[in-house]
Amino acid sequence: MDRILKEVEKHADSGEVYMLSVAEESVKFENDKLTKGSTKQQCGHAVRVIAKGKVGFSTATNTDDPSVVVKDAVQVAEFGEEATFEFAPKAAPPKADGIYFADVEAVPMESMVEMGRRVVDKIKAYDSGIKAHAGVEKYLMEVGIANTNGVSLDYRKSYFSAHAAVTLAEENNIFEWWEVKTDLAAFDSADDAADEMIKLFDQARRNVPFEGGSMPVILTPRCLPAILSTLEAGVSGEFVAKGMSPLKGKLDQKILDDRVTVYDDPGAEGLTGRMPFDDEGVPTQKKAVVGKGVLKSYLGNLKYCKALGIEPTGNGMREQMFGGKSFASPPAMGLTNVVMEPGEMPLSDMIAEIKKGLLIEAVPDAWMGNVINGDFAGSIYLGLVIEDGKIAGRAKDLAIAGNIYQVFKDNIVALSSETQRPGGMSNFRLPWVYLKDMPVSGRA
Amino acid sequence: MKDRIEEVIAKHKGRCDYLEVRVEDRQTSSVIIKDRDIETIAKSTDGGGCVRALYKGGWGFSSFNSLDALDEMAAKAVTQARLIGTEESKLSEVPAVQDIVRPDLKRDPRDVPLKEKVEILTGYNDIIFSHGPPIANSRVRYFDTGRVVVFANSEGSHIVQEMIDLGVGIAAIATKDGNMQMGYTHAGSSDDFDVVLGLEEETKEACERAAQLVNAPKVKGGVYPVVVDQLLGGVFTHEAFGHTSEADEMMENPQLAEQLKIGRKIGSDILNIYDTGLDKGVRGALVYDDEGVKTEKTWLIKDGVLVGHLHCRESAAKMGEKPTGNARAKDYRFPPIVRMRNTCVDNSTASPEELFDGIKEGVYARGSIGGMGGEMFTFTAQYGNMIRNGKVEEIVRDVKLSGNLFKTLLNIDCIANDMKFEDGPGGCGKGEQFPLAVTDGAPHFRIREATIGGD
Repeated sequence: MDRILKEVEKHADSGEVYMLSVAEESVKFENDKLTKGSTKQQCGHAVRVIAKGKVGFSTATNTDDPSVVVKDAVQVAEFGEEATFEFAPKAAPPKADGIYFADVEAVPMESMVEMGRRVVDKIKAYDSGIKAHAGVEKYLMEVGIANTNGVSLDYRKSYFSAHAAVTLAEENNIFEWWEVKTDLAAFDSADDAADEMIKLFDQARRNVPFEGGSMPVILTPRCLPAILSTLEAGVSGEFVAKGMSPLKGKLDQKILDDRVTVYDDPGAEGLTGRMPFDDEGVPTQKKAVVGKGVLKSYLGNLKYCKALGIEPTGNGMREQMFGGKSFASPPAMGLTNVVMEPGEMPLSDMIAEIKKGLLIEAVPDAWMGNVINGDFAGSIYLGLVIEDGKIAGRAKDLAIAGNIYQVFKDNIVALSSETQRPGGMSNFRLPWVYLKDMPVSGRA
Repeated sequence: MKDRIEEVIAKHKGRCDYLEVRVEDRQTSSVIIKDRDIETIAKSTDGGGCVRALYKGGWGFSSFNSLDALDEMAAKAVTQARLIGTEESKLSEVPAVQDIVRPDLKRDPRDVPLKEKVEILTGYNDIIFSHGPPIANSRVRYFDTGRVVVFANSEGSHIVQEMIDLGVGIAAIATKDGNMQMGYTHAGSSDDFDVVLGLEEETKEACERAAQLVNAPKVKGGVYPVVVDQLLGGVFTHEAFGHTSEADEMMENPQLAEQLKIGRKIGSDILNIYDTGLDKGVRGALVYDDEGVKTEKTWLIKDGVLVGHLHCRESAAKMGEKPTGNARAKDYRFPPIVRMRNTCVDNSTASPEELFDGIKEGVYARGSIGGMGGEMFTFTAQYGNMIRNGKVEEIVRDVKLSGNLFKTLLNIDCIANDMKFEDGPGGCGKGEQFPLAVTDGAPHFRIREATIGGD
């Protein structure tokens, strides 16, 4: 990074160098068999410059000649936008405790195979007639950022992850279900993930007829992240600054039910989004996004925080579309860990009081709607029918739609007293959300 | 470099049943205009390689950036394969190929100066802003990529392919009373920068649409007869059926393969679907896939009967079918998996107007924002119109279409004769490999009954 930064100082007014280095190893079981082993090593650098007052961006994997990537960034800056922000100021390096566990590096492939095999065996023991899949993955990452303000930071982070999945292929019933377990430290068993997956699959494999309509639904922690992508877009500094967000001008106003409190919490225990600074070198900080229904913060990268006249929030992230860091794009708004406070009603009481409704586990395409508006709309990939207080089975071919600023204001019956860190989205901790009068379309 | 790769293959192939090396070098230019700013202007270089080894049916894979690591990473891939494999390796036979493929370009995007690209895109952006309220925002995005991929394997193949890929997406965004709507147009190509030119009319139409949509009601959710336009029809084919044809999921799952077996009457009699790499110039065009297999046109459905699947060498061998040249990797960081190319519903004989006859109340779903596939598919139209008594009536927004694959394909009861290919700047996602360049094609067609998720 230093060699590249020197070139930045030579050729541009100011600039920043970002480095992402990843080593991963994984094993995969598909259709009951151990099929794949994989080892990946990659390293890339991203350079942002302000040259003659304009912003340019360039990335490279080969930095043997550190001037190339810098000259590319300077060259494209000629056509770039006028710089309206500055790179992160130098500050005391934030501590990066408890995010890198050396034992992850040491886990041999043979142990990963063994762990996956136990998952497959568990699934086959439950039902030898369905196909079992499993995977175990270890992931080590190093992030570095340096800029012409004297920022020079880096941290290492580890992840360890396992998944358990099944494919059911019957006449008129092709259904895949999965569970994921991710921690920052290595674990030696994914049996619990397999058990969770089997429990839900067992309820879901039975299809029941169902007619859409207006009804109570319970959104589970598993499906909530996709639906919360609406709120994420709404508080994004970029969309607020541009007047595209319905939350513009609503700071400190009540926008949701007063039982709703949501934090962006980089230090949250047990969640995997922990990181000391964002991908622009700004220290991350815990903040309430919504507090008792009141809008508390907008979140943004340096550019859009400046545009809104707010202190940098530490939410400038370089991410791939479906999660995971990437050096390929400049920083956009991203969250660290998302924590939503629980309520007071046990989940079992929620289910017990519903005569006809749905327990919605997955609406995977909810983020594809007009999310900046607050609209979520998607097909219910897994909706479990609640009939007279009991789970009856899965209803297929249904869809649900709503606007979060309406639904989370007017339709909340209760939040559960329990919270859960959903397997596939381990940087979230969320309650179950019990809603009334939700429009469910389709017929199973 | 050829010698180096051949040396490494020769050194390690004795310890496995099959070995392949893929090395890639890529340059990308991209411009993203948001509102009045060129928010991102970027130039990127990206290079690296990977090794895949097969031993007793188990695969080892390694990927890396520096070619100095080739030998060590090849050894790793082989060691992993030997740890994994316990059965018989199965790969369909394909001829070993020695070839160099240079693109036959109409206009090479790499020769177009950045200044010219910026002027063209700024021109579209200016059209958007000249529309005036309620148009308040824009997003115009462009990229082009030139890459050279070297593929070599232990069977004696050595293929060098140089390819380009480009796309542009133009979005006009209207906002009224906190309601934000988008009108969108796009283009893409694998051989001609000039597809980016001449989109002025489409841009103006996109502005009109966005302006209408902010005043439009949401479509009322329910089950309706639906007419889809060519754009949405293409995405439907890709999401609803294309992914299901990818044989790597079913090759070791006989029950799944049974549901999707050759000979099953899976669609209506008039439905014909294929996937091809042969349409020169579309983004999904290929010469060789990432296993060195020559591309082709693969029929998937003929007269409503399932007649084919999309294969990699392993799935073809395991299912006793011919290889089809569908093994593709996003880049050197990934192993190839079965992916689509240009997936199309073939023309039938109806005129587009006939599709609306007899519909008392239905939805004309138009354009596409994206979708997801499986037994239950889903996709988001850009916009729609209500169909009342056979006529196209008021515009409606937030049209999301979902349905059961098996029921829906049988419910396609009328197909028109106006097929179009569609390309944009996005791509297909499968596993972690997103985005991959693909193309979709379809004429207008009608689905007797589909679920529209609205209000």
